[in-house]
Amino acid sequence: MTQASTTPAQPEKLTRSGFLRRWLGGLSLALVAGLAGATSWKSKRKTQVWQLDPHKCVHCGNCEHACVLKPSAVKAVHAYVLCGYCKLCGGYHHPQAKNLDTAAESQLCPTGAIKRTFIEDPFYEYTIIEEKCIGCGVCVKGCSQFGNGSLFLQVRHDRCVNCNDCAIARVCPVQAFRLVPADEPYLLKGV
Amino acid sequence: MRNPVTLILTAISTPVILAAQTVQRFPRPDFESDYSAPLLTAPAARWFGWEYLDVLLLILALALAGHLALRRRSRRGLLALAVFSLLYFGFWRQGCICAVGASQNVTAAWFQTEYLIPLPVLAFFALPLLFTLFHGRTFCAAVCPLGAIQELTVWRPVKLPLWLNHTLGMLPWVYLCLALLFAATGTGFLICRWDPFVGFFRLGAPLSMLLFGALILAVGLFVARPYCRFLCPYGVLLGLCSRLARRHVTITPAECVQCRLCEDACPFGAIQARPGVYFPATGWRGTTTTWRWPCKWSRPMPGHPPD
Amino acid sequence: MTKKTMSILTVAAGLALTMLLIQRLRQLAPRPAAPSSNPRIAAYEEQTGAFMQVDPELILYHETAALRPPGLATVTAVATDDEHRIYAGGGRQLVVMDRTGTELRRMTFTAAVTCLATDPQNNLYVGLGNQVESYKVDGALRTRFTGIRQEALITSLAADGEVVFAADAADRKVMRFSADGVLQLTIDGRENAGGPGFSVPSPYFDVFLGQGRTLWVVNPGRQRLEEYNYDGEHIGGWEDAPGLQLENFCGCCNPSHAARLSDGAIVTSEKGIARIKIYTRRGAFTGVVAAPGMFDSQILSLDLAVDAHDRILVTDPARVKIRIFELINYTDNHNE
Repeated sequence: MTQASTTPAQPEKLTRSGFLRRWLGGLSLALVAGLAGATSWKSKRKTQVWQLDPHKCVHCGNCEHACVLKPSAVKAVHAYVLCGYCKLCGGYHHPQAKNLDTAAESQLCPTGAIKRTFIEDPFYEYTIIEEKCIGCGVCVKGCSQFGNGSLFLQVRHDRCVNCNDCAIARVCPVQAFRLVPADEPYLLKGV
Repeated sequence: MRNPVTLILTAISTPVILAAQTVQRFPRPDFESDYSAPLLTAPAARWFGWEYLDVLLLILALALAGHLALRRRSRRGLLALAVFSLLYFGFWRQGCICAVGASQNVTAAWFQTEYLIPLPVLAFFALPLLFTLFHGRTFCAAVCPLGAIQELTVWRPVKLPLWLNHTLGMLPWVYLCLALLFAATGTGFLICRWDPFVGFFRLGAPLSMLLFGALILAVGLFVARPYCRFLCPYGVLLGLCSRLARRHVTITPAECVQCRLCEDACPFGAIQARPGVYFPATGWRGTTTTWRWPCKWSRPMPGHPPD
Repeated sequence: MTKKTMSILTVAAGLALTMLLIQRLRQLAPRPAAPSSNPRIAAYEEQTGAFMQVDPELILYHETAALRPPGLATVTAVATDDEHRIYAGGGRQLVVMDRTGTELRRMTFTAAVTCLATDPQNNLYVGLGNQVESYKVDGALRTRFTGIRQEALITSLAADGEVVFAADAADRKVMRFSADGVLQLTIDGRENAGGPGFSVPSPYFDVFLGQGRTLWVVNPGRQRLEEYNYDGEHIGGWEDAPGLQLENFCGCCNPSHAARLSDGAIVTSEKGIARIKIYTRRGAFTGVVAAPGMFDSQILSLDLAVDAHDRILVTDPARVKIRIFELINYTDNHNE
């Protein structure tokens, strides 16, 4: 660990190369500052965050595995306003379900992340238990095929680490991912 | 991997209640019971003040790195700063945004009409370059988390033959050109895609990313800082700025006895003898050594021979 | 080996690696929608796909024509009359065609056409969201219906020349009008029927006329067809078990559309799994008109109309066509 000063032992003399270097140094300083300044024309103070457009989404299931987070930052969301509250729910029940009950084998969700609550005949409420949801989108597929499409996928911004290059956007087959302003970070259905 | 502080912030901030109930595409059933549907809520976005805090800490870290390298000449201090950078910029902030990747955002901002670059990202691109013009590549030494993780995992560095060192040193240029081309055309962010360490920072990544990172670290046990020296595209820009820097870390010519052991000791092969510089302590003339952070473009620097 | 050649070799190796990298990145680049790489989704598609296979023995009809209504961007409503004119509605447009698909007339409305019906006098009834208009066979406006709520969504019409029934999916009620458009009665399936009413989870709510002054109402949320007399009294009906099996009604709100053949048998269409089937008046499954494989998408609104020769006309919004199905051979399937 050298502790000595870097000050040259002798007064520095300006040589030709030294002069050139200084001059070029100043020039590049101006260059970097100028580049940054010019780029700031195309900048904004608000950060942008990733979100997926549910109207473009084809629920291919890539969101579950492509995200850098495990489980994915993408999760299913339920727009109650679009829901039909049906007893037979395409997003809740397995296509081969024998009974329209809440038994594990009747459910489509691989983690049991949808809760069904009886309201009144013939209506049932379906709620996503977000902690259990892994973002595979199977329920979204079922709901879109047989129901009103009230279930959809969204990037949850309490989880998303906002990668510079979103790993899911890269593999999204329909380019449903885009950057949205951070203060309006959701693209919702039924709004 | 969630930040505990983020969790707390999310918990105390009221969830955004979205105006989903205003327009109805199709009427909901008429419930006879007094059921009313829950509101569609979404967790609030993370606190983006972090990003400005990041910029502030970046400035402080760069200034401190310059001070430690040039004035204090404290290797221990720089190591401590590197540990901090690794913990904060790496593990805490999970590696995004980083200066290396930010060069793509700047390119995208110039070539893609719809892309807007956030100001903190621009700052992350420009500040290390500006500091390098004054202090040399102190950013690489102690501020960059990618550099820090490699710095801390060097085990038995071997000295690469000069020719190999120089040849591999061309790769960053190729990588930079490709990355900027990809960014400009909107094809993707190559540097982020092949970021070797972000998977470790986040404690999870696709297998290919983790394998690449592990490979770099494994090589780095013996070939010090392989990513910095032979891949890092931002290092090209820093290297150019470093050549024009006002000040540099130097071998103190007044005390140097030209044992030249340092040339072998430098794990990065960055200390190279150059002719034409006078060393007053021994009256030796003809070779100088410039000591600086991983940089391939050595040049005579310290003392000048008396006329 | 000299250092120079080694240098060159290294550069070459570096370039080769770069090429490999680019190749790999190309594979990662966005591709058009392909079968999912997620095994869960693939399993789901396989499970639902299994229900789309139909035993050819059960298919009683074959497609004899597919008419493209000229100038329509989509087609969501169909009707036909005694003289084999075909009325096709899509968006705000209505096209009247003869049986070969030649355009006879074209009408444009201020709102999207949601449903169509004709009566035995060949008058035309057009549902336009919350309005119903009636036209003479030459296209002259007869009347605009009154008494419809602003929020209504008329999804189906049925007319016999004396009265007109209009299904309001938003209110889950069926309104009875006189032929000149005056509201006479509202059927909610509750009071007179003693039932729990119509369950309409999505904007599909169909009505059609039965034999002998009866009205059939599809109760899609309960997978049920209910028969009423003209005064709104429940007189019969049947319920099918919900399920993806061919003989059941799939999804949460099916059948989406229904119509009656001359012998009283009922044709139904479903969304989710696009299929058109025939049931007896009492609800016994008899056969298939069109299997899911005949449609490009499974999520389609397949409106139905039956002409005087029991040909079944189907809207196909994916192909923008009116597809016409006819019985392959005469069988006793439709007779009870």
